[in-house]
Amino acid sequence: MPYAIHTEDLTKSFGNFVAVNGISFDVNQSEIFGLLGPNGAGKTTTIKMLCTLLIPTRGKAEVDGYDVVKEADEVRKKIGVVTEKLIAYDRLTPLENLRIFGRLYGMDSQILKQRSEELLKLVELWDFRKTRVGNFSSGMRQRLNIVRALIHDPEIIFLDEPTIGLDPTTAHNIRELIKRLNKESEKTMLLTTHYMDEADRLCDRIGIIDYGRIVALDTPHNLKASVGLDATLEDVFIKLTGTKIRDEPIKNNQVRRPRFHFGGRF
Amino acid sequence: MMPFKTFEEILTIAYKDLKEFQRNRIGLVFSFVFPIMLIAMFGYMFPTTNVVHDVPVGIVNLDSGVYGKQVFDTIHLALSNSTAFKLVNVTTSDEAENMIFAGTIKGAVVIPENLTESLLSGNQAKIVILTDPTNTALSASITQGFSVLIDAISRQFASNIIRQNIQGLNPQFILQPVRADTQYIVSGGGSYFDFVAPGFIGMGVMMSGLTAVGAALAREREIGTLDGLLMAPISRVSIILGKTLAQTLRNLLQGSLIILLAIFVFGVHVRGNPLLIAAILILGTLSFLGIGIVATSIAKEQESAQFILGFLQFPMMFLSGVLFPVEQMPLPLQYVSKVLPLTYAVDALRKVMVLGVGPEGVIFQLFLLGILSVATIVIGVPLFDRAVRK
Repeated sequence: MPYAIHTEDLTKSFGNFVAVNGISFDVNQSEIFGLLGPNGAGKTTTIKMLCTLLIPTRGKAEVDGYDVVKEADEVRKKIGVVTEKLIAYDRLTPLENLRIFGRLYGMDSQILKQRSEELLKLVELWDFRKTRVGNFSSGMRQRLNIVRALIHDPEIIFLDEPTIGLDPTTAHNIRELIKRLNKESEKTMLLTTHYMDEADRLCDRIGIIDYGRIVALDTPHNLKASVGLDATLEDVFIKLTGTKIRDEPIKNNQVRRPRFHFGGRF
Repeated sequence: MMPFKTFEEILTIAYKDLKEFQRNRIGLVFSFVFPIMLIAMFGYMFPTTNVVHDVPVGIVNLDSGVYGKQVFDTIHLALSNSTAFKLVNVTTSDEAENMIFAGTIKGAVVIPENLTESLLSGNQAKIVILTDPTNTALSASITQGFSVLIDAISRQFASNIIRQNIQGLNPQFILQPVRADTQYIVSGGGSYFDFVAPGFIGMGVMMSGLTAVGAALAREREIGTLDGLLMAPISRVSIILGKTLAQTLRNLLQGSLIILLAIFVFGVHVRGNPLLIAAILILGTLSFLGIGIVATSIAKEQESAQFILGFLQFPMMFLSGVLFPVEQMPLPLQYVSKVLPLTYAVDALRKVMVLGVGPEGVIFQLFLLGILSVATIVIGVPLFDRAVRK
C-alpha cells in the first residue's frame, strides 16, 4: 500500500523567493497529519502543490501513489480540499453548488443527490439547502466548504485552516466532524492550523515547518516530551520557531501568487 | 471527436455561468440596458429624418419690380409646408444681419433691388443667402436648402425664357440635356444609420468578448472558486470552452435584442437571413473571446492584459469600417484594417443586413472568423493552463 502522501525534496520558488525548500515527508493511510508553522512558512504552498494547483520547482510529490504533475487528473479524483476561502458560488444554493461540483467529478446524479442530502444533514445545512450561499454566515460557509470538498467521497482530504475565524461551538463541531470522518471512513487528512490545541487533539503526527523547511516531525506526545515535562505544543512551537512575529511582507504575498491575472471589463 | 465526458463538463460549466448570470439582477438589467443605450445613442446621433427643424430664416425683398415679388411669393409658397425652415419677413438686409447676430434668425435670403432690372435687361441676377459661418452644420443646411430652391426658381425662369423665344422645343433639353438618375439596388436604403447600424451591432456584441472570459476567470480567482474548478478532474479545455459557450449565448441574446430594437424602434432595414446573421455574430464573438483568452493568458498581470486589449480595441473601433467605409481611409490604414477581425465581421454583417446577401456572399469572412476562433482557442488553452499552474 502506498503512502497517502509522499514528498521528496519538494521545492517551490517564486522568482528569488523560496517558499518551500526541499521538504520530504510521508503521510500514512488513514492518518491525520498536521502541518504547523508561522505565517509564510510554506504550508499553503505545500498544500497547493499536493493539490495540483502549483507545479513544484524541484523534487516530487505523490498522492495515493500518483505523481502530482504527471498524473494530476488521478490525484484530483482522490483528493478533497477545504481551502481558506469558500469554494462555492454565492448566487447559487448549496444544492446547486453541490450538483455542479459533483457533476464535474463525473458523479451519477442519483448518488449525487443522495450524498448531498446526507452531507448537508450531517453539517446541519439541510434546512438551508435552497438558500443562496451569499446569505450564509461564516460558520455556515465553512461547513458548506467541507461538504463541497467531500461530495465525491475523496480518499485524502486537505484542510487548510478549517476552523479559522469560527466561534468555539462551530469550531468544535467541525473538529468532531473531522474526527468522525477519520474514524468511521478512515479518511486520510492533512491539516494546517494555527490553533496548537486543535492540532494536539486531532493529529496523529505533526510536522512543524519554518522558512520552507520541516524543522520537526513526530507525534504530538513525542514533540512535547522532547521539550520537557508538562510542555504544551505551543511551547514546542515557540521553541522551534522563535518568538519573533512573522508578518508576511506584502511583496512576498505578491510573489507567492501564481502569475495569473486578468484584466477587468473595459 | 470530443469525448462525451469533456462535452458534459463544458455544459456543466456553461450551465453554472448562465445560472449565476441569471441570478445577478443588476448584471441582467444592464445587459438589457446596454444595448438599448447603444442603439438609442446612435439612433439619435444619426437620425433617419432631417435634422433641421423650424429654423427661423429671414427673407428680405428689396426689389420693387414684378420678379422680386414673384421670387418672394414662390419661396413663401415652397416653404409653407416645410418643417425645416420658418420664414420671417425682414425689411432691410442690415436688419437681417443684426437679427442673425442676435440669434433671432439663423440666416436670411436677400432679393436685391436690381433683380427685375437685371432679368429684364438680359443679365444674370443674384439672390443672396446670408448665414452665420460659425455654426457650420446649420449654415450648410441653410445654404443647401435655399440653393436648391433658388436653382429651381432659376430653372423656372429659364424654361419660360426658352419657351418664349424658341417654339416647339422642350426647355429641359437645353437646360439639362443629360440628367443623372440614381437607382438604389435595394429599396429604401441609403441612410447613414443603415450603414452604421450593422457596424455598431457587430461592435457592441463582439467587442465585449475581448475581455469577457478573462474577466470571468479573474472574478472566479478573486472569490476563490477557480481553485475549485482547477482541482476538479476536468480538462482545462472544458473550463475555457464552458465559459466561452456561456458568453457566446449571452452575446447572441444581446445581439438579437440590439437588432430587434434597431428594426422596430429606429427603422433600420434588415434584409438578410436571421440565421446567417446569428452565424456571423457567433463566429465573431468566438474569435474575440479567443483573442481575449490568448491575451490574458500571455499577460503577466492585469495591467498588461488591459494594455494589450486596449491596444487592440481602439484601432478596431475606428479602423474596422464601423463609422466610415474602409475605402475612405488612407492606404496605410486600409492595410491595418485588413488584419483586424472586426473589419470582416462588420463587413459580413453589413452585406447580410443591408444588402440581403446570402451565405455564398460572406463565405470568405465566415471562413476567416472560423479559422481565427479555432486557432485562438487552440493556442489559448495551453497558455491558460501554463498561466494558472505556474
